[in-house]
Amino acid sequence: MSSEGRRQTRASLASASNRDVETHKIATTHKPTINDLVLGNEPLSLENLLSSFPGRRLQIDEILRLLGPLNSPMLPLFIYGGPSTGKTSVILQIFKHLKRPFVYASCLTCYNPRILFESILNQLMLHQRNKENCYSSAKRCERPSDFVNFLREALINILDNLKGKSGKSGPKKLLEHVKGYMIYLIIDNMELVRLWDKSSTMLPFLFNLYDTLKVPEVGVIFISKVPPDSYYSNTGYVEPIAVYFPGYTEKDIRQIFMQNQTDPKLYSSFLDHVLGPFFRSTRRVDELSVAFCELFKKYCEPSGELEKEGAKRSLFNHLRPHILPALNEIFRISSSEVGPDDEKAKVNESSRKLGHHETTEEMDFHMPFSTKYLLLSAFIASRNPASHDDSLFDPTGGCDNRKRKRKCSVKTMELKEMAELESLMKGPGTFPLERLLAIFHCIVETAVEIPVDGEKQEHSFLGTEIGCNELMSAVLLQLSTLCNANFICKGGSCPLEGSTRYRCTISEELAFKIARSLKFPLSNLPASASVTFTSSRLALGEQEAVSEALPIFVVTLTQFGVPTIDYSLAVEFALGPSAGATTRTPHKDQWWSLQVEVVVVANKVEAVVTISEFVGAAQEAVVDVSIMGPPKMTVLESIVVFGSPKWTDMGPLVPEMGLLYWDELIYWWDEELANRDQALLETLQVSTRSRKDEIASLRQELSILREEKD
Amino acid sequence: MEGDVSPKIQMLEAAVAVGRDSLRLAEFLKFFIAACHVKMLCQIVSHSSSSGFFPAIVCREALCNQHFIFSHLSLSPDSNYSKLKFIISSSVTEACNNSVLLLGPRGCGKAAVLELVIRDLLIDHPDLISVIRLNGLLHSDDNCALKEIARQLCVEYQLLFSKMASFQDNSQFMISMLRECGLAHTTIVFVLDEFHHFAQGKQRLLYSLLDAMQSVTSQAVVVGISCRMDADQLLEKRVRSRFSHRKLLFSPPSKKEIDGLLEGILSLPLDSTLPREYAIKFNAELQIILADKRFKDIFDTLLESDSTVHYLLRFLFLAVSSMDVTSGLLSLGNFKTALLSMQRQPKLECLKNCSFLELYILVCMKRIETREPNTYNFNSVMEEYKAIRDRSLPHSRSACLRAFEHLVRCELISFMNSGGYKQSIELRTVKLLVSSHQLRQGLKSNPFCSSNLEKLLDQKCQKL
Repeated sequence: MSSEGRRQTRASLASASNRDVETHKIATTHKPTINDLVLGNEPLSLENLLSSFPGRRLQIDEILRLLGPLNSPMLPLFIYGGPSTGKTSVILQIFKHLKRPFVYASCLTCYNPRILFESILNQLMLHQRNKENCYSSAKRCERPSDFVNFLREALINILDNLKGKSGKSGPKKLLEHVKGYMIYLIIDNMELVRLWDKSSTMLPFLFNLYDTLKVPEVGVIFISKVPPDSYYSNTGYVEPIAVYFPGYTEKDIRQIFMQNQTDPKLYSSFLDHVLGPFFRSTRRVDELSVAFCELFKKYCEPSGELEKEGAKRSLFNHLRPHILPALNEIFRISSSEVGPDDEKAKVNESSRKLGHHETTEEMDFHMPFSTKYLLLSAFIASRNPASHDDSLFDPTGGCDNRKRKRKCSVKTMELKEMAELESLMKGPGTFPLERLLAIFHCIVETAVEIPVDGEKQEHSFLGTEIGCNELMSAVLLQLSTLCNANFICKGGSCPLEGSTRYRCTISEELAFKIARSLKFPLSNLPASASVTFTSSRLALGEQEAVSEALPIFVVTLTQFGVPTIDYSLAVEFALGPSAGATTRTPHKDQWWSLQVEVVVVANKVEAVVTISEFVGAAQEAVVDVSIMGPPKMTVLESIVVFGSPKWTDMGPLVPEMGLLYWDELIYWWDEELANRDQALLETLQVSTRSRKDEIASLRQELSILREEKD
Repeated sequence: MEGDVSPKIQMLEAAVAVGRDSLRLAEFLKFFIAACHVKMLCQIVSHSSSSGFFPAIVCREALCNQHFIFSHLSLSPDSNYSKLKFIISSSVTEACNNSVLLLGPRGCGKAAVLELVIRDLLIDHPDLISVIRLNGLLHSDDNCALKEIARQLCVEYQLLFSKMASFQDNSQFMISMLRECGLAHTTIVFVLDEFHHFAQGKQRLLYSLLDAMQSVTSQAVVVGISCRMDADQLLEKRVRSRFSHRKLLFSPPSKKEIDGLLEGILSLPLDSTLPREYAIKFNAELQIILADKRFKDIFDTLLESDSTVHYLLRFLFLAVSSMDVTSGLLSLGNFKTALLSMQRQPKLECLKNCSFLELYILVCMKRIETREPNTYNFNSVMEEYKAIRDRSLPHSRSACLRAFEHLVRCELISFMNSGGYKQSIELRTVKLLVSSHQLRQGLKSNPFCSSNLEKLLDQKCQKL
């Protein structure tokens, strides 16, 4: 880092004057002198200093007192406070005010000991890295021991210069800006040193620097974002004197934002509306300024009729709808500012940050088709347990041979809770490579089956391509690409299986976006369930007989995890000769009408399906529940069927396609109840909303009955 | 200031007598106010405006000068100072080898006393002592340490130092230098600060140093300084056998010594450049403060936490730096503010700094922690947050995640295992770094905290 580097301060106030210095320096490439150890040429009065930092008066006073009058020795200082509380800016401006020589090095830019040491030495030895010296440092210095020797040497050199300035007549003119012969070392971002490799020796070394040097004319100042007690674990140093920078109060923030405003009146009324709600979320100036910048533009939009009395009101009305969304997606830097060539950065951001891209419908980066499918299959594999794969991808159902429990036992409830907790704690699950490839094959096949216009060719091509074994290497290559892009991360290998396991890290939004671009029915696929009733008695030839006793289905679902707010549920009822994707559409000779009423309370979804009219004949009835919501997060709790005894020997409920937890599925068919409780059934047909409690009581009754029966 | 009352009254009478017209009266009153301070100060203020403020600098220089401070503690005959001086000087005069360990907690002035001894001995026997200083933090590597020894020896005897010399070369050089110095009856004092760092690994440096001292007719003293009381136990067998087990234990100064130290450091010397009258006044004022009961209370609370010299120095430095510039005298208030800034509670300060949303998240975590300790992450915090959310707060995940990240950065919360950084933030298990007592205090001190939030925190406590 050259001596210019330290002139980069975070204060916008200082940057203007600094830029002058920098351009000047670059233009003339003059040799740095001791003058360059002082910040800025123009004097900064104490009043200006105080007024440019609202709410920092106490801290400035305290630091000034601790720095003491001219040429007074000083014990090391430790300045700490949260981010964006003005620590660095205040210190630098204080030195500008005092005109005392100092050296500034930040551990953020000097990311290892060597760079830190060399940066400090370069500044002290008035060395400038340029083309002539091949951008090399003044001294090559890696070890703390060398650093101490060089530093002492350089300091003594500089101090001789500073002290001798009054004696010689020559450099006197040169040094008129520099006051005093104390030299200060400012080390910023100390908290980062804790992450360095040799932090256990580096931290005590830096904190002890003042004692080790034994040069009383040096003042050491540390700036840190974390309080001193977080350094205690690395024992072995004498504590420096701490100065605390508290966060700004609302009043201070207002003052800060009112600085340099062209239209103070307008901005002040804008702050009246905005500052309160935002201040409850964050107290950081940097974040607030990003959020306010956008909002103020919106606020100013209808500023034509400003002079009227009611203008303020109307402006606020205009602004109001924007506040809440801005508050919710706090401090997103709008991607329009990012150049088009920054795609990679955006990709990473979208993969990392949940919920940051919900507004954009389109995917903002390009990806090959097969990679998209691979990513989708990874997503499906991550979000669903492996045991559900067969029910998902096997067209014959695959699990009708399993005996299902009819009742939720306490144990399964516990298991469910555990699963819930686990999904919260572990997030997306891991999967082996074999499973990923299997799912990949499956979904590529379905993609071929459902031709989408325009992309038909590519899909069929893809299907054949993937079918060939020799091209498997291409898929593996893409997998490694996805791993590198951090869409899929390699987990630890399972100790029993020995193979590497993968985990998909993309958010749901991104997955749905990819699915949308492929026209792949991701939203229906994982969270849909259908129930097929097969019955020989369901020969519904006689129209009258059926219509009087049409069944009512009450479908209950639980969603957990991250409930989506826009949650939609569609229940489809189909009667047909056989269950299957193709026959679910009504035949010509069949006609029915459904009434679906959906109640969503907290995370329970209840849908009551009533068949009001029916014409036709069918052997089977299919209830198809599809939910537009997050996969795996939805559990079909129960489908309760109320109806006439004619439906009695309905076959077992067959999950046709879906990824729901079928273990918990109960269905209920009871002749007794149906006969006895005609009244209950009637109540079901009243408005669903008011029926909520009745359904609950009904269900209670059902469970009691069932227990009795058992 | 009681002594000033009578002159004040006299002056007031004079003012009334002389100043009939208001203008002159005002002038006179101004003078009178200035005179209410100590008379001598008039000179001082005029003096200080020309060359910075002097008395503060004198005090600060005194505080930053280790020699000055520890010379106060080294007066008694059985102090560590005199013991150490005896050991080293016997080595100088009787031409023998010696080794000693200075042990004691940090901030007790082990190194400072040694420096004081060396300074005084250098005055007594100039040209007979050369000092090699090593620091365990800097030279724990054996190679590096020997190189540093060679370098310092070269500087001392104006020899040419070769950077390229190997460990073997440097070792040879050191041994021959030891021999030469022994023949010339010059003593080399090796100061090994942070001694326990040298006792890591193979201890080649210590071995070759101590071995050379035994085999060669040398005249050297090895002084190890360490804050580890078991520093000599760390040594290898072959090193330990060559080490004389002389140890000097340093402890924090006693109450009496501290009192003497206070007075010695703070009172101004009468023979300095400062006006003598001012110094007398300053010292008298200081005596009044030191005798004050309130000052003693402050001082006792300070020493309760730590009574080492360095801690005391920091306290005095803070007090001196807050000295009033116009009066130029220390006041009780200075010591009070110094005590306040010594007793910091960083966690509480952090909590006071939190926004309402961040506080809410902390309360959520506290509630979860009592229910299911050690197994929760951001997702479960979010669940809890949704359950007890305040209407005025944002509901989105990203806003909460941002606040959560703030908390991590402030170190109010931290992740359980550092190894899991492959996982995203939402999934890593977290823990609170503040106790419930601290949290409650923080809630009380935070200006945004509503009573509702405190209630939410208490609810959980009732549940337990």
